Amino acid sequence: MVKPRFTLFILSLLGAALSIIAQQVSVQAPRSVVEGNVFQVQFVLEGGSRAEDIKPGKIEGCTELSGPGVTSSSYTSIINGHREDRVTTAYAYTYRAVKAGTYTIPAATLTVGGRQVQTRPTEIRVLPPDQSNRQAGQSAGNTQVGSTPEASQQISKSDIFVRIIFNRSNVYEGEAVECTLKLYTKYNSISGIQPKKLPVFDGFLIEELENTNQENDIEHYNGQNYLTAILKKYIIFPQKAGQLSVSSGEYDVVVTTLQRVSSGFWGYTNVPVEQTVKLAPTTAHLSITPLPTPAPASFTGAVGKFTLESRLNAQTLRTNEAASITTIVTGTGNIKYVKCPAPVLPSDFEQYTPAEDVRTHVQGATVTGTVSTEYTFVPQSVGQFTIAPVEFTYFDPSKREYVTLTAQGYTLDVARGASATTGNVEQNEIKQRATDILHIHPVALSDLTSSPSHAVKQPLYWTAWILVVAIAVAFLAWYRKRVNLRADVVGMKTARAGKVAKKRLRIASRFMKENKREEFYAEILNALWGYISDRLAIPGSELTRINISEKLSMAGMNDEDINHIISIIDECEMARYTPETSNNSPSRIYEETSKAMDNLERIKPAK
Amino acid sequence: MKHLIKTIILAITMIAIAGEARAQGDILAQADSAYNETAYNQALELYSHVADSIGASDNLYYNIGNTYYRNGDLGRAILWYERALQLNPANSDARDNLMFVNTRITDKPVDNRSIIKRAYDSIVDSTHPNVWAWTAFGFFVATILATMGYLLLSNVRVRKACFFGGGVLLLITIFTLVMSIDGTSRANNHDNAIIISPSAQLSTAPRAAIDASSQAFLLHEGTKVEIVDSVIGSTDKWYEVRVNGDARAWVNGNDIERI
Repeated sequence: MVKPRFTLFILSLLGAALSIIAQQVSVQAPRSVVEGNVFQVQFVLEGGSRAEDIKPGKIEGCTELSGPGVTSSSYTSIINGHREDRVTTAYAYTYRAVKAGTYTIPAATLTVGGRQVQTRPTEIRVLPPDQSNRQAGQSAGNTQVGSTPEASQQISKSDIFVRIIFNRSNVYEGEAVECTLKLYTKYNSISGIQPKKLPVFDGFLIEELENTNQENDIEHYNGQNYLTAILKKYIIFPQKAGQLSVSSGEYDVVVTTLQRVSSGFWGYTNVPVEQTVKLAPTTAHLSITPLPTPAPASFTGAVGKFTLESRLNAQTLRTNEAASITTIVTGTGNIKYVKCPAPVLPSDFEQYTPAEDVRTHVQGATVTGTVSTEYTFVPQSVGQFTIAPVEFTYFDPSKREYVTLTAQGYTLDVARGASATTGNVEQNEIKQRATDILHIHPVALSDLTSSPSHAVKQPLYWTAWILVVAIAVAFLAWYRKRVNLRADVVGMKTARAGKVAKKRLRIASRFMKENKREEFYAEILNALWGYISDRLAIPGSELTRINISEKLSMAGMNDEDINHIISIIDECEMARYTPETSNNSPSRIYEETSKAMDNLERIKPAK
Repeated sequence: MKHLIKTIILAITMIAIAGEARAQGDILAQADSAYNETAYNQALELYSHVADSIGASDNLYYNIGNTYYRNGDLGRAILWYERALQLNPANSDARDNLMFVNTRITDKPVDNRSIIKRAYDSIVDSTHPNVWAWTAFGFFVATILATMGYLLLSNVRVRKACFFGGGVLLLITIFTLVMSIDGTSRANNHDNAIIISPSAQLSTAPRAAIDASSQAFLLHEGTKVEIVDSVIGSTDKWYEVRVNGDARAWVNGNDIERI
């Protein structure tokens, strides 16, 4: 039996808007019926008059039982003195579905006021009957579709459940799948459905669709016919490979049941009682194929079919004037999660946070749209800059390969613009980033050694230290001796007395040869006196003949030699101031003095 | 006759040696160009050949380290940078690259030296030990001269200056000499090693870890360890190593290489 409640769910306005504005005709028929059931097809005419004639077509696989049953309703409204009349006439035909299959309700032709109006052909599915029904008829425990359960009756799990339906069972990572949550029930008396736990999509990105299709339907599933209603529809994008599962979530379904209540004399009546049925979550699996490896470097996870475009939003570029490059990816797939490739801008372009714009809409079981990212920049210096073309790679599941798109690159000529930085000049710091090792060095052949030498391990090095010390000590010793000698002035004079005297004698002999008598004697006297003074350490003030002879005799010189010296001195003093005589010739004096000197040299001066 | 043969042999040897040196120079140039053309395996072979046949220099070791880095072998890159630094602690590029590669390895190196020790180390490593040695010698000569000045000169001011200056110079001499000796001992210290296998499981005893309790810890390539002790097993050699100054465990000799 087709209940009016379900038949009233309309294919609204499908056959609407025919040529006559005032008169519209529509077809009201169930989308599916179960084989053996009786159903009604209504042609509803909205407009002033009735149809004079109606010719419905013949539906294959069904037999016409009766018709047309005509019902008419009129509606009148007066609003602000404006009257509106509406008459609706419905022509109902009753059929019985005989054979399972999908058939077309052909266009019916209505003649209204001499004009012919045609309905739209509509499809109808005749479903096979429940399998167990066919064998055992109306057996217990097998609920007829569209019935109302009795209160005492246990509501079976197979009579009401939620199914997860994917439009495809094997997809690539990131490929869109349509996922429908559908309620299947045998009962027509469902008065409410309350989600208790939301569906779980582990490893998916989801895009919930607005459930515009509130249509209920009959569906043949697992050999049984069920009333179905779509609860939710999603487009899901698997994010990882492998076996992923989706859980439907939990629902509380309120079912109206009938309770037989005795009403005394009148027998029994059925009283509706609401009963809540808890639906446990059901799980469905989806196997996800991983994307092939290796993926190109520019691949960021886009799966589907896309196009790439790049736009430069400026006619001329000037320093300190903003311009921008927009990268636009358009296509079908996981577009919402697509990252636009960023152009690599020169480092002395001041860059701003890119503005992203995502526009998507659902088209059937896929998501289509545009993602664009605008990269705004301000050139800071004049010159020619090259911006490499951006690359975008996506995986095309239909071709099973990666597709790389390349947008155009740019060569930007930046002209000098108005100087924005007056007075406040910001200088660029040259930055070095530690991203790589330093380059190799040239190796000098002369540096190569088989055994590295260390100075402190070599004896030669320490020898150098010792040598320095030795040189220092030797120098010190020599110097010390020299200082001692110099400190002993008398000893020095004594030691040097002979040398000085001989020098003076040499000068004297020169004077003698030049016949300078006076100078000769003076020099001889000097030599003698100086020699005795140095030799015997007698200060110049104490040099007298007596002193000399005393000291000389103390030094162990015999008197004869002492007298000889004194006599030379006397002779010299005499000769200095007297004219030359034979016995005091300079040559004799010179010889005498040399002899006296030799004698003096032999004595040992007293300390 | 015999004399003549000897002379000829000597001459041939001399020519061979000269030719060899030129050939090695060519090999080095070839290695550099192979490196520049990213033929790192070839560059490595050539550099290693030079290192084996002629000898070492810090720059050669540095280049070998670079080549290993380019080949993706971070452990050996660190090993050769360390070797380069041992030859010449003043090779600043080797130090920079070592620091850089140390940021790329799995195990983060921990520097738990005190500030004073760190400052001291940086002074020791600031130049070659031989430079320290000759600096010490120079200061020693200056000290001696100051001493002599003090002993021999008569001007009181100059003598005072010589006395105190000599004291300062003596301290500097001692300091630089210590630097030189310490630097030399570091250059000849082969008790440090680098993990060269991608990962090495250290065990608590000198044998392969047999269960969870005998597993000490896991080290990865590039980590520097200090060898404390060694045991020669029947098939392999095991080293007791210290990591980061405290953690001690045994590591298989195949997993490490001495600097």
